[in-house]
Amino acid sequence: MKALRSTGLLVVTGLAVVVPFAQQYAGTVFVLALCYAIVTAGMAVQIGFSQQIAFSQSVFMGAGAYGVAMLNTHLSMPSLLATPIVMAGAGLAALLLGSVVTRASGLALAVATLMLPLIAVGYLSSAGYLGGSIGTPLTGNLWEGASTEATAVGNGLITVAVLALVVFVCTRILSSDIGLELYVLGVDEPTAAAMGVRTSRRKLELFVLGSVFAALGGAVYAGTQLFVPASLVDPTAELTLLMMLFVGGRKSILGAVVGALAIQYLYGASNWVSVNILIVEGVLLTVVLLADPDGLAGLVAALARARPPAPAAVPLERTNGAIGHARLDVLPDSQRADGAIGTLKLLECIGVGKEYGGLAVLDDVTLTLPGRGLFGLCGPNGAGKSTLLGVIGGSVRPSRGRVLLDGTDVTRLPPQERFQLGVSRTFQAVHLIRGRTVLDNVAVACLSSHRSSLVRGIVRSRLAEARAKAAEALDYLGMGQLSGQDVSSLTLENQRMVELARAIAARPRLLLLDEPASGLSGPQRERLAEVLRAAGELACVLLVEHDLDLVARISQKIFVLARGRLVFDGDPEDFRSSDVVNSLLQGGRGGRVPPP
Amino acid sequence: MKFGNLLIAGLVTGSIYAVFAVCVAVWYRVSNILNLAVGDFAMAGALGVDNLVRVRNWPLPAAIAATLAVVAVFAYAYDQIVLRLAQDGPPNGRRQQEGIVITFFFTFALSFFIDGIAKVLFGTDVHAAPALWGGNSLSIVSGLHLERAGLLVLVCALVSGSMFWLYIRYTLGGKAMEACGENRLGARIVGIDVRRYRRIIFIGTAVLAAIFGIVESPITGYTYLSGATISLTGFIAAAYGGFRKPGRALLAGLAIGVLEALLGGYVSTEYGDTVMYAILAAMILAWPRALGFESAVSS
Amino acid sequence: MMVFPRRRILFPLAAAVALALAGCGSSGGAVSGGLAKDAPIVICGDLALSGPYAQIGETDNWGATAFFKHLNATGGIQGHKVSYVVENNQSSASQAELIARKCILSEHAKVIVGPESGADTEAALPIAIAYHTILISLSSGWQTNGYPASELTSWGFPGFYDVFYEDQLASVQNLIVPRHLTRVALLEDNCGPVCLTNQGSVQALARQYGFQLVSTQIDQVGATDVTPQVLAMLAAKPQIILFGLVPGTDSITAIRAIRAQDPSIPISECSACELPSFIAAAGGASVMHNIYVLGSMQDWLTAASQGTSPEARATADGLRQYFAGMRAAGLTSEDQLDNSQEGWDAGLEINWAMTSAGTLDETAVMHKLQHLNINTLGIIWNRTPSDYENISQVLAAMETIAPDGTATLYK
Repeated sequence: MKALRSTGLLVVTGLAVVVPFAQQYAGTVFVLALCYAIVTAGMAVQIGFSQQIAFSQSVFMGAGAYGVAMLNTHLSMPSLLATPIVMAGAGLAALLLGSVVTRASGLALAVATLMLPLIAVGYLSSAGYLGGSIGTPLTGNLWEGASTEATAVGNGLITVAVLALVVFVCTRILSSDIGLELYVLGVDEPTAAAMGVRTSRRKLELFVLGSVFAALGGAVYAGTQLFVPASLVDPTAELTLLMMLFVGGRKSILGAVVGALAIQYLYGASNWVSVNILIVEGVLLTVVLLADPDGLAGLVAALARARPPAPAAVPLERTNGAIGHARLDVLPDSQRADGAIGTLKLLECIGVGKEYGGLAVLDDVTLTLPGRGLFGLCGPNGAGKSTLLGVIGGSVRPSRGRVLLDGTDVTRLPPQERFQLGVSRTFQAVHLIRGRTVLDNVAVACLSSHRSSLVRGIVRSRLAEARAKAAEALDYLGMGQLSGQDVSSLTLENQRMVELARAIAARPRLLLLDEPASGLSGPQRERLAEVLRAAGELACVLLVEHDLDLVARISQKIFVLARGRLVFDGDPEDFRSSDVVNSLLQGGRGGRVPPP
Repeated sequence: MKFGNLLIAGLVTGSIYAVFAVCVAVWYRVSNILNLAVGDFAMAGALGVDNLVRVRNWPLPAAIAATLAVVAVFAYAYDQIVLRLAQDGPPNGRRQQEGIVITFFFTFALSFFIDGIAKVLFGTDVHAAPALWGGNSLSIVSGLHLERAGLLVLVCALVSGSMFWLYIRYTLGGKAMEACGENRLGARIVGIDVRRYRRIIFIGTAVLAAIFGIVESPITGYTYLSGATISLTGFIAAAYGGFRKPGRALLAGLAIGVLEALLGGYVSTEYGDTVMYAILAAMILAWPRALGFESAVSS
Repeated sequence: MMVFPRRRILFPLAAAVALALAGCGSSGGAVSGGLAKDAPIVICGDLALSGPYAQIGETDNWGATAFFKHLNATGGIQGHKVSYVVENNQSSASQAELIARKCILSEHAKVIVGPESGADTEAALPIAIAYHTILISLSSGWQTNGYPASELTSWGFPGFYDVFYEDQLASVQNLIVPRHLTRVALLEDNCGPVCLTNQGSVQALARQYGFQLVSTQIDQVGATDVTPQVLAMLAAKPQIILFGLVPGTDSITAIRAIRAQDPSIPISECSACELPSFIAAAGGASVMHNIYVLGSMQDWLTAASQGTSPEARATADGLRQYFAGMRAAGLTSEDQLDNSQEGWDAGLEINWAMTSAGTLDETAVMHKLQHLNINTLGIIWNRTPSDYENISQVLAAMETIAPDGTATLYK
C-alpha cells in the first residue's frame, strides 16, 4: 500500500500544480522537473537501492528524446504514440548493452558505463541528421489540444500520469520480495549469491529498468519541451541527474522525485542562486549527505519515524524455554530433509584441489557426507578449511576434482544454483545486511522469487510468506523478539545466531558453518552446541571449528585438514587419541585434545 | 615525422592525464575515497597564480607560494569539516558513510564548490598561469618538435609517479599510508593514526594537483569549468591503473594520451576520441581483473 | 435552515471572485498596443550568466545594460523608460525555454534579448513566436544554425552577423588577397552546424577570390590536443591557417599545437585573442606573433575614424557612443570594453525599430525589424523579410599583437 500512497500523493500534487498553472512559468518548471523525476526514479532503484552504479542514464534519456523527435519529424508520428515505441527500442538496446556491461561490477561497471556519455557526445557532434552539437527540434506535443492552454495542461497531465506510473512500479518492486533480493545484491553481492539470488540476471534487469525509464523520461521531455539539445547526453547532464538523486534520497523513489523538483526549482530561484549555482549545489549536496547519506528522504524518514528505544540485546540464555527439545521437534517439516533420510552420499568431494598462483591450498581432498549428521572440519590456520567450504558452497571453483551433490555433479554450478539444491552456509565474518531488520535478513533465505522476473515483483509479492518462514526460524532459535531490530545493534553472539537462523531458514539439506562459535563465551557455546545437535538430526551439517572440545563432543565424524590435505578422517574417539592429530595441533595449541 | 610528432604530442597530453591519475590513485589508496576534485584544485592553482601575477602584479615565486598555501589551508579545512564528519562519525551512527557510492559524492560536491568560487574570484574567461619555462618549442631531431611546457609536464609526471611508488614501497610512512587504505580498523589497531594520514594525503594531493595545474595550464588554458574535464580524465586514467597503484596510473595516463593521439592521427580526427572511449570500455569489460578491478561475480 | 449556510459560503466566494478579477485586471492589458503613460518598456535578457557560455552571456549582458542605461539617460523610447531585466538561462536549452516563458508571462517583456547559443535559441524561439514576442538572438549564424525554416522569417531576429563567415571574409580580404596566397588550410571547431559551415564558406571564397583550400580539419570543442589535425594540415603545405574556432581554450590549444610544429606560419582569425587575459593565457605576446585578430572595438574606432565614407563616419560616431555609454555604466575594464558590442547592438536595433515604427505595437515593431536598415557599430544591415541575415558590409578592423602585448591595427 506504500506504492498507492506514494502514487496518490504524487497525483494529487501534480493535479494541483498542473491544472491551474500549466501554461505559466511555475507550471512549466514543474513539468520539466517531472521529466527528470521519471529518470531519477529509475535511478533510485538501480543506483540507490541496488547500488549498481552506472553512468548510462543521460545517454538513454537522450536516446529516448531523440527517438521521439526523429519519429515525429520524419514519420509525422504523434509524440504520444512514439513514446512506447521508443521505450521498446530502448529496452532492446539496454538488453543488448546490459548483457555486456553488467558482467562487470562495482567500480568496473562504473568506469565502463562512464564511457557511454563520452561516446555519445562524440557521435552526436558529427551526426548532422540529428542536428549535430546543437540538437533537434520537434513539433509534436504529447497532447495536441485545441488551444495552447489545453496543450499545456494536457502535456502536464500526461507527464504526471507517466511519473505516477513509474513511481508505482518502482515502489512496488522495492517493497516486494524481489526488492529484498535487490537490496541484498546491492550491499553484498557474494552473500546474495549464496542465498540464491540470481545476481547476473538481476543486474541485467536493473540496467534495463533504469535505461527504459531514462528513455521514457527523455521521451516525455521531448514531447513537452519540443527541443532536444545535444547537451542532454553530456557527462554533465549525467552528473546533474546523480546530484538530483543524492540530494533527494537515493534509496527512496519519492526522494528521487523530490530531488529533481528541488534542483529544478533551485535553478529558477533567484539570479544570485542561479549565477552561483555551483557553489549552492556544492554546499547543498555536502550538507545533505553529511546530515543523512540517504538524502532528504532519509532525513524526513528519520524525523517522522518515532524511534523505538532499542531493546537491550537479549542474551540467548534468557530466552526462556525457547530452545529445548520440544521446540526442536516442531521444525522438521521439510520435504527435502525427509527426502534425504538414509542417503549415504549426500555430498561427495572427489580429489578436490585448488591452487592460487602455484600455491596449493587444497590438495586431493576426498570425503563423503551422508544425508544426516553433524561433522566437524578442523585444522590449523591456513589449512584450507574455508576454501573447502567455498568449493562445496560454490563460491570457489576448484582447480581439480569434482563435487557431487546427491549424485549430481555440481562442480561448475554457481552458489545460487547450489542454494536451490539445498546448500546453505554461514561465513567466517558475519555477513548480515545492515539497514534491514533481523527478520528481513533471515527472510532473504526464504524467498521464493529467485526464478521470477523483476516484473513479477510489481504484480505480486510473497514477502509476507518469506517473513513468516523467517519468523519461524527465529522462534526456533529463540530469537523471535529481535525480529524488528536493525542488525547493526546486535551483539556478536546474536548476530551469529541470526546468521545461523538464516542458514537454517532455507531448510537446507547441507548446512556449511564456518566457525560459528568464534567470539562466543562458554555458556553461549553450549547453546550453540544444542542447536547444532538438533540441526544434525535434520540435515547434514559440516562444521568448521577451532574449538576442538566442542567439535569432539557433538560431531559424529571429524575431518582434519593440514596444508590442504586430509590427514584424518574418523570418529571423535579416534580423534582424541590420534597421534597425528595431536602432534599437528600441539604446535599451535600446546596440548592434547582434552578427554571428554 | 608524423608518427614521432604524434607520439610526442600523445606523451605530453598523456602526462597531463598521468599526473592527475597519480593524485587520484594515491588518494584512493590511502582513504578509499575517489577524489573527483583533483582537476578543480589544479584549476584553482593555475587561476590563482595567474590572478596574483597578472592582476595584482606579484612576483611569480610569491604568487605560487601563496596560492599553494591557500590550497593547503582550504584542503585542511575541508578535511576537518567534512571528511572528518563523513568518515569518523560515531560508529553505527547515521553519519558513518560506507561504500564508494557515497564517499565520492563528497568530492563531487567539493568540485562544484571550488568551481563556483573560482567563477566569483576569477571570472569566466580563459586564463593560464605564466609559463615556467618560456621560449619556443624545442627541436629534438629534425622534424620532431616538443614544447617546453610539455617537457616540463612530462618530467613532473615521471618524477611524481616514481616518488610515490618509491615512498609507498620502501618507506615506513608509505606502508602506513597503504595500511590505512587496505584496512582502516586494522591500521588503527596497530597504532597508525589513520586520520592524520588521511589529512596529510588529502592536503598533499590537493597541493600536488595545484602544482600540476600551474605547470600544465599554459598548454591548454583553463576556464573555471576546466576542472571537471581534468578530473574526469584523471579518474579514467587512474581506473586503468587499477585505482590503487600510482605507478600503473602513470603508465595508464601516458598510454591513453598516446592512444588518443595515434587514433586522431591515423584513424580519424573527428571520431578518434569516440573510438578511443569505445576501446577503453571494451577493455574494462573484457579484462576487468587484469586491469585491477575486483572480480565480477558472474554466474 | 438551508439559507444560512449558503450565505456563509457566498460571501467568501464573492470575495474570491472579486480578488481574482482584480488580479486579472492588473496583469492584463499591458501587452498589446500602447502602454500606460509612465509604464516602462520591459526588455528581458535570456542570457547565460553561468555555465559554459557564461563568458559570452556576461558580455552580452554588459552591452545591453549599458545601452539601455544610456538610452534612459537620453529620454528613453517614445518617452518611455526602458526597464532591462536579465534572467540566467545557465547555458541550458531547457532553461532558455523556461526563461523565455518567464520573460513573457511574468515580466511582461516586449522584447527578449538572447539567448547566445544555437541550441538555446532554437529552444526559446518557438516560445517567442507563439506569444508574438520579438526575440533578438545573439547566437552567431542565423541561417546556418539549423533552425526550422519557418522560424527564420518570423518573430525571432539575428542580433549580430555571422561572425564565423565574417572572420573568414576578413582573413581573405586583409591577408590572402593582398599577399597573393594560394594555399590555405582551415581548422574548424565542431560546435554545431554553424561551425561546420566554415568549410563551405571558405570553399566559396576560394572560388570567388582564386585560392585553394588544401586542407580542412575538425577540432572537437574542448579537446586537449590537436596535434593530429595540425600535422594533417601542415602535410598539405599551406601558406596560412584559418581558424573557425569557438573563442577560448580551443584557440590556445590550436595555437600551441601549430607553433610547436611551425613557429611562423600566419594564423587568422583568432577570436577574442586580443584580450590581455587571453594573451597572458596563451603565453605572452611572443606567442601571438603572426596571429591576426578581427579587432577590438578600440581598433575598429581607429580604423573607422580614418575612413572617409559616410558609413565609416557613422560607425565612428556609433563606437564613440558605445564607449561613452559603457564607461557611464561603470564597465571600464579592457575586457569589458572590447567585447560587449553584441548586447549594445541588440539595443540599437530595438531602439531603431520602436522609434521608427512610432508605436509600441509589437506587430508594427516586428515589421520594422524585418526591414532593418541601420549601422550597428560597423554592421550595415539590409534586412528583408525573406532574408533576415542580409548584411551589405561589415566595417571591421584586423589587428596583430605587438611585442608589448597591445593590439595594433593591421593595414
